[in-house]
Amino acid sequence: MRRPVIIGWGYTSVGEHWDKDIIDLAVEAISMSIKNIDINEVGSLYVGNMLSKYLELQASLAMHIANQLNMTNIYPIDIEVGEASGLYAIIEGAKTIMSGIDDFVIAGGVEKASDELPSRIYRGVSLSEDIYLVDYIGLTKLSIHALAAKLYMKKYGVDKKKITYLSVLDHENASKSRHAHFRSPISIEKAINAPLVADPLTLFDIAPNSDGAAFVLMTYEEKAREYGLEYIPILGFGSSIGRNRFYERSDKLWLSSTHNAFKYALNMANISTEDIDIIELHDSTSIAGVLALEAMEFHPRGEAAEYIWNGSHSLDGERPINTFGGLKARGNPIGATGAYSVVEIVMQLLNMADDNQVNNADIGLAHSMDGLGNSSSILILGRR
Amino acid sequence: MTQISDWRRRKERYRLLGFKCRKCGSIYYPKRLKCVKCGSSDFEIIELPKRGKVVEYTVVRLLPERYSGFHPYIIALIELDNGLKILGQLTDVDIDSVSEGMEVEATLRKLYEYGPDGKIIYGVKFRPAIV
Repeated sequence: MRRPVIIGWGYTSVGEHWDKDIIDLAVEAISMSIKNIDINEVGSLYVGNMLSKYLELQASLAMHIANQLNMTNIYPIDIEVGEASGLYAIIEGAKTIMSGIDDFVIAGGVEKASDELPSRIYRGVSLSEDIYLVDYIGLTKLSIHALAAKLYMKKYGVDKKKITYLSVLDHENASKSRHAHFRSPISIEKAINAPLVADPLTLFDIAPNSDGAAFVLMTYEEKAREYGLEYIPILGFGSSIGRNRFYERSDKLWLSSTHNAFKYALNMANISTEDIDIIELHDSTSIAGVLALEAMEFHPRGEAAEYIWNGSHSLDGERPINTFGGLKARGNPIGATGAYSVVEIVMQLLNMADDNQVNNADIGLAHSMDGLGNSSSILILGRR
Repeated sequence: MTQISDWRRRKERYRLLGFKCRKCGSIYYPKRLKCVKCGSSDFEIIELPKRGKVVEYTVVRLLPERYSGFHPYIIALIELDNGLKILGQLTDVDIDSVSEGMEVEATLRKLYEYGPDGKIIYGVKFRPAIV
């Protein structure tokens, strides 16, 4: 089977793009990702997005984006798996390359979350939960994360500030990143004393809802060599879904979908946990990041926050995470977030991460999920 | 939800109806089409207990559309008297007086409305139990 590789990548800065439409953002990122090939050689375009039909009232994004790029012979597919859409789109692209149907594929994600009123966004991001719960109970995505944080603190006796410290680490990394939404460091005192948003989570425990687009250009290994292009291979991927009703899970602190996706991806890549050098985590909240690290068994349960606190996952630690700031500080362009994680891993592995560069990273992992593990996907990239 | 689905699911919403698997006895709220435990699609519709206690709760302070008038409100993990855990919104309660283990009971309350001339949608919330 052909091995999929990434040969190009493009992204916009993450933040509030008042002067740009959703299509503008996607076209900007895709144009940047095209290197050394004619755009009409691209056979498929997979666009991850969660909310365009709700916010912009625009359907068929991929078709409209392809139109603006004058791509005519294109298979244009929109991918929506909630907050994980961007990574699912890239996995779809990898599968297309592996199948032999297309030699070149573009995949990624785009979101324009800043145009609407906050109350519309809070309902919007919650729409991948069961709508019965969202509309008839008032469930929000954040309320699930908040309940999990309380259960976690109670079960393991972990101090809240150690969970929140992930946000401090994110801001530290983002302060050196040119594309991040929030480029200023924060102190742990500021983070834990920020206004509550869903007790016990404060404004600094949760990712913003940002605008942004990130895409990758993919081909297969032989083709990349033939064209003399620098590339990063996709070693493996996996995805899984969890019980969509948090309250029906027997173990509410175990992200089974992330665990299973991780196992599938490791198996496909034929590597072990220890081989992974860097991780981009889907930390839509601080507790989500902590639980994801435990679901991937990098740490015993109840201990991940302590490891983050002790520096194991800082840029100069043994296994850096969220090297450009993660969802909290690089920002969270919802359906594009997973695509940013992939682009950031690629830049790390090619030693193009400038001030955020991690030394000697060979294998990187991008994790993305919807909600607190409704669905999860994992992509492993690297030289092996 | 749309106005038609509000109608379609009115009983479940007004009466707090659970779906009990006839094969293994597992209960779900709201509706499930296939039992998670045994795979059966044969469900009996039952009324769930109207009382329970708060297991855990959070105060929602970033309010979604349709609930922006209830600033702030509480979402609680509630264990009903039959042991079933569900999520519910608390009402008639000061946020500082909510505690884990607090006894609550179901009550019919306004959820949201479709504009000044539209329908008003009611459903179950939970209030501190009146002894």
